[in-house]
Amino acid sequence: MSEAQVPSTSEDFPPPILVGGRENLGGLVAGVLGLLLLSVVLGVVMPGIPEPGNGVRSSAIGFSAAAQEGRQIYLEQGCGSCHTQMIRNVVPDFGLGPVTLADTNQVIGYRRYGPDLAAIGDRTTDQAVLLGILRGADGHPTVSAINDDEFANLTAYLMESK
Amino acid sequence: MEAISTGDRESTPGLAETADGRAIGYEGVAVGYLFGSAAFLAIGSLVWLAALTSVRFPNLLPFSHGHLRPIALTLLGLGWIVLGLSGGIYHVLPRLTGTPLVAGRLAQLALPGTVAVTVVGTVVVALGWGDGREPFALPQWLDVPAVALLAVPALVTLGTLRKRHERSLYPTIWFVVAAVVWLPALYLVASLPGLNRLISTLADLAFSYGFFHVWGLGLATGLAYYVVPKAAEQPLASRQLAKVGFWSLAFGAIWSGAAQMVAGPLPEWLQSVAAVLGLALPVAAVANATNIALTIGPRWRRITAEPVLAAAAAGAAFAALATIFGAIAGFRSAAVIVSLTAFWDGLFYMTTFGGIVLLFAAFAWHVLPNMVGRKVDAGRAMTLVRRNIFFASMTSLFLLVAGIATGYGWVGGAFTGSYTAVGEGWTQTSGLSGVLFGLAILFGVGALIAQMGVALSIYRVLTSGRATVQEVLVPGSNDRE
Repeated sequence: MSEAQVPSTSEDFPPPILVGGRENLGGLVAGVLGLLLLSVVLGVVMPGIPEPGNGVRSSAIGFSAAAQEGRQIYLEQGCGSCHTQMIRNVVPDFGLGPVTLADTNQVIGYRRYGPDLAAIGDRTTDQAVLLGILRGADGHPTVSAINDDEFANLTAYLMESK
Repeated sequence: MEAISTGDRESTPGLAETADGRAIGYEGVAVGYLFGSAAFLAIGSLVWLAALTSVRFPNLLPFSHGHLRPIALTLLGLGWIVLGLSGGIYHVLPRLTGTPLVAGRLAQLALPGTVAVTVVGTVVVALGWGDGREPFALPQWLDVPAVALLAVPALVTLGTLRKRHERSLYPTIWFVVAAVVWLPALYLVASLPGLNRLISTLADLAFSYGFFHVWGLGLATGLAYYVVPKAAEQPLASRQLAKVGFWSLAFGAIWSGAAQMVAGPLPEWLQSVAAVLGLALPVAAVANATNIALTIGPRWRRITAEPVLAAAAAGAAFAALATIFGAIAGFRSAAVIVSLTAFWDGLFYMTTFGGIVLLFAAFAWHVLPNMVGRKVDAGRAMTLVRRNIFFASMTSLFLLVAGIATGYGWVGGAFTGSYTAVGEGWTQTSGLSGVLFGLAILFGVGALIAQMGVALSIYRVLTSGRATVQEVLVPGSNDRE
């Protein structure tokens, strides 16, 4: 601090740099909140409302109790970070299975670094193959933090995903 | 028009005050938040690189991508970005309002609280107890304290603004208000139980992109509006352009999320809305970048030697580029190829490690010396800016290209049938993108070193560097009257 040149009076200060304007704070807060509300209604609430005009179709799967447990493990292990369960009506997804509809109860996922698993139960009929992959085959990371029962539930979820 | 001015004067360390001796708040709060955030920047960057590595080399690390990704996002989001930019808010609020922080003690207490939630969150997710929902995957019992802690900046900001002495509002305040109001509200929406899978995914994506665009990029831009005019000794070039930048950002903030699901199970109208409103983001980012460049304008030659100006300009340019690519990727024809691929992680990298890191660095390098009393080494900081620009650009570029290659690989795979296979067949279709991903990781190592350098430079103002004066407020025009 001792090296510094310290202005002694307010006249030594530089002219104002940050120049504000007269604005209504309440209007700003209301505008921000209004846009937030609009975004949430438009982007999150309304897509959940069925559209009778399009015909309400269901892609919800009636999972067994074990498969529902398995879905929870699928979520906890972060499988959705690499796998989608969403087949789109586009060329790259041809051959994967039936197109995913709006009300799926599978884990849609966020990236597809590994294969899509929406119809995995149709594409892999051998549960042992699936178990092998979960234990590190074919370049899949080893899922080691879960016990045998949890493995069984997880594979049940995948086998019933179709 | 009102004027708010700042000046330099010796003062009690850790306590900012007006020229007439009126204390304006807990200066130590801002310092604590900034230092805390720097540690999370370093750790979060490391874990994010590990998360990228785990995609290419799945069994190399003890944790899978499914664990590393949310851990990295928690460390970067809750740890670095929330703490760092909260510190920014607590620094600028007293200066722009001429008022002590309201509930400054609460802000002080929220620091260890946020650190605790971040650390516990990473441990819980690592143990496999997360809920698997992006961005943080925190279980519901941790969402409650997280939302409460994220509401603290809103309480402090709105309380301080209500009691402000300075009646005029500087543009930085707009971005601060939007960030503090949106963050806890969006988090709350994304944490609501009982949503079906599609809606919960949409809510997660809306929160993730709202978080990184409004709280991260938006607030960092707002703070750049505070430091750039001061560093360039020029008033902000255009208040109108700042308005365009601000309101466009608020319009477009969450729509990049839904744009990732274009061609998926969304209503047709939502796909169009997401693509069109997503166009507001590049408008915002380009307006803000232009405004920052025009403000630096007459002092443009100083940009090669002045790290604050260089980092702010580069950060704003990264933001503009990332949002332009993001808007293009939201249209159906592009989304068919790049949705769900590494392309979006490239955009995230460009936004976060290009845009937000540099804007954060510009802010911290400008304000910390004024609070702590030691100058940042300009030469070293300029080197960090250059390295960040180069390595973040290259890492983002290879991730973007890897994403495009993956998308085209899927199209080819759909015709050959190999893509529908689950194990070996899938691995075979990802050859080219795997190489590109590997290159991204390679440049990511250089970027990590640069990001750690930024974190270290923040701590160095405590231990080295020439002494400088500490900044305090002097009366604005209202106070003089």
